[in-house]
Amino acid sequence: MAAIDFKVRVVKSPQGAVATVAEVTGSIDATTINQFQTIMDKLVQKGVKNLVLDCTNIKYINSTGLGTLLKYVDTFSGVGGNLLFIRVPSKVMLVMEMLGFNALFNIYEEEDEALQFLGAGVTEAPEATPVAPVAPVAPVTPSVAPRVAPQRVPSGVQPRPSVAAGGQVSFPMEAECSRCHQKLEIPGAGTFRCPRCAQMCTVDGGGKTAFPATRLPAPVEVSIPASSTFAGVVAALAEGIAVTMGINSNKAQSIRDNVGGLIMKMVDSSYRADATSAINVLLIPTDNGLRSEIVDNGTGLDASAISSAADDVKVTPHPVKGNVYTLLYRR
Amino acid sequence: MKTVSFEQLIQEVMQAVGAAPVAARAAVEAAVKQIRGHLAAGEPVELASDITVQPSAGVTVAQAVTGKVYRILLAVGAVDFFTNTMVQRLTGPRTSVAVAEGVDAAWKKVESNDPDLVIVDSTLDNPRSLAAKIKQTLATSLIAVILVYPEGTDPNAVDGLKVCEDESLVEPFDLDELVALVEDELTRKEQEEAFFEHEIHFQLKTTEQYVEQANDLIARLIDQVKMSDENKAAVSVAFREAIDNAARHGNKNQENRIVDIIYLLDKEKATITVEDEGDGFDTEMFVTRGREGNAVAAARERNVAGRVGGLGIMLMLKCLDDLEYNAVGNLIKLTKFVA
Repeated sequence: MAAIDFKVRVVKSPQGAVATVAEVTGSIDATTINQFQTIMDKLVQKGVKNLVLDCTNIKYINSTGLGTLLKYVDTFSGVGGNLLFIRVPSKVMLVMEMLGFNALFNIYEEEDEALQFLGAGVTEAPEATPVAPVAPVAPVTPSVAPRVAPQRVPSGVQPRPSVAAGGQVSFPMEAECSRCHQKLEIPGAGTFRCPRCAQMCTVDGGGKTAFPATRLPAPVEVSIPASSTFAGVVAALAEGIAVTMGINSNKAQSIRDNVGGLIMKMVDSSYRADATSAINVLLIPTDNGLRSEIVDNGTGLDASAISSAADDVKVTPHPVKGNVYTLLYRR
Repeated sequence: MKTVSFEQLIQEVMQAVGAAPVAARAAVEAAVKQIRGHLAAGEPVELASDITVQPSAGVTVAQAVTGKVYRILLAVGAVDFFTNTMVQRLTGPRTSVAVAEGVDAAWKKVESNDPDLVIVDSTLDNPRSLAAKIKQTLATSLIAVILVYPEGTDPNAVDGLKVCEDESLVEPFDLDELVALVEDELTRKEQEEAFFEHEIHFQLKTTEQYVEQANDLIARLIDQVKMSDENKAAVSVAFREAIDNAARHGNKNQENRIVDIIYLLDKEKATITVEDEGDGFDTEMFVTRGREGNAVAAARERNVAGRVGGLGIMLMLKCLDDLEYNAVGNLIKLTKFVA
């Protein structure tokens, strides 16, 4: 009987985030899946919120294992934690990539990078430096504050208060929205909503700010016929997701134009408007912004077609066929 | 059965007609040449009212047409009287027979002599290992292999993971039967060489251990193909899914049920068929769902329902260039193009 082995230890990042690292040895497939689930369930029951799976010694993950990993990514996310993957062997990575799960999984090369990610989740108020005043945010009553299940930002880490000279917190104080990075002027203790992205923020009398972790909309994966009609549909979809994520309307509009424009170029030059072919599009909301991954048939586009409003552009060969155009639109 | 040699035939003709040795040799050689010419043209030759040589006479005809000398290797435990008898019976104007004692010596001869056919005798220690090695190696896999089984053995039995030979004989057997098999196999081999570069057929009992061995075997076979590492890995991933489905869903993990696998490599593609002994399933529905579905959504749906799996066909479709099932749904064909 095939077996799977877990070696578990608890670590703390320099920023103070606590995580459990599990070194997994064996394959995660139909023969080991029950054992794997039993151990993972125990970790969840013990209250582990941030779990880093060291995949160095994972020999193989099949489709059953992959589906189960997604279940635990969702489980940890649902309790305000994270399931992260480090040192993923190429064979395992290939399986993740084939089904597009790599876009949903937090994958890092090394343990310190994963811990850094968890540490970055510590929401800190900026130092008291002068900023242009913004309109005071409208206070809301604590009773209407939503119970948000954090998705990517780890919870349980206290933000650092903004402290004025002399050690006393003075209101109005400044803070930065954890979602859209808008500078906020906080008039006093209470619960507030960011006027730009509607993110909630709670400030106590000592100036400690607490933002609920960002809850991102689900990713969208679509295959569309290579036709201009459908390019517009995907463009509108991208804009809708951007708005839902709290990206401002101007930027969301530019994302729409950019995604739509790129697909149109593909329809015309790569596919010659052959609507019997399909273009695959992934729209993935992330903490950094909206990432779009568009796969063509390998004919390729010239550089001018992909120069865009995107903040980061990458073109990589798809493992099966064609190229993947990855564009990141930051918040 | 004794084979009359060409020299003996000339002697007999000399005595029968009182001809000089040179004249008798010239006459017999001329007759053989004419017969070969007719056979090469596909014409039967009636030597007497009760002796007709047909163009379908296997080795003789193939040799007459191609002029090739076929190399046969006889792998035995130790040379004995029966070995010599087999050598004598198989040796002809267009066939040469070499003998090797032991698996290691036989493998060395396979590598150095590039035989067309290997007869693996039951006296060999672990004869199956030699057959398996020949079939697993890209450079030697098209060599025809005839395995001789000891008396009372069932050549179709599968005990673990079995790399299949091309043909088999169970002792005791008639030498004519062996010669006929050799002729058939040489003809088949020559035809298949025109299409394939690697061909291997293996079967396994449905256990975790043998399924894992099959995965390792496919990985080794694919590793010999000139394709990118990513494509090699993709084939292995797809095969894992296919054999896992065959073992779990098809054969219901019942050890006595067999999974049958054929791996074929030609210039364009690698093809693997995986067949189980189950009742099959509605392949059309699952393949359509696999082609059109969203993997993440499908996985979440299964997870919410408290179930696992359901992504295997989707993963295979992503890894392969083509995927086909038979009508019943108990045989899957995986295709990956080499280029």
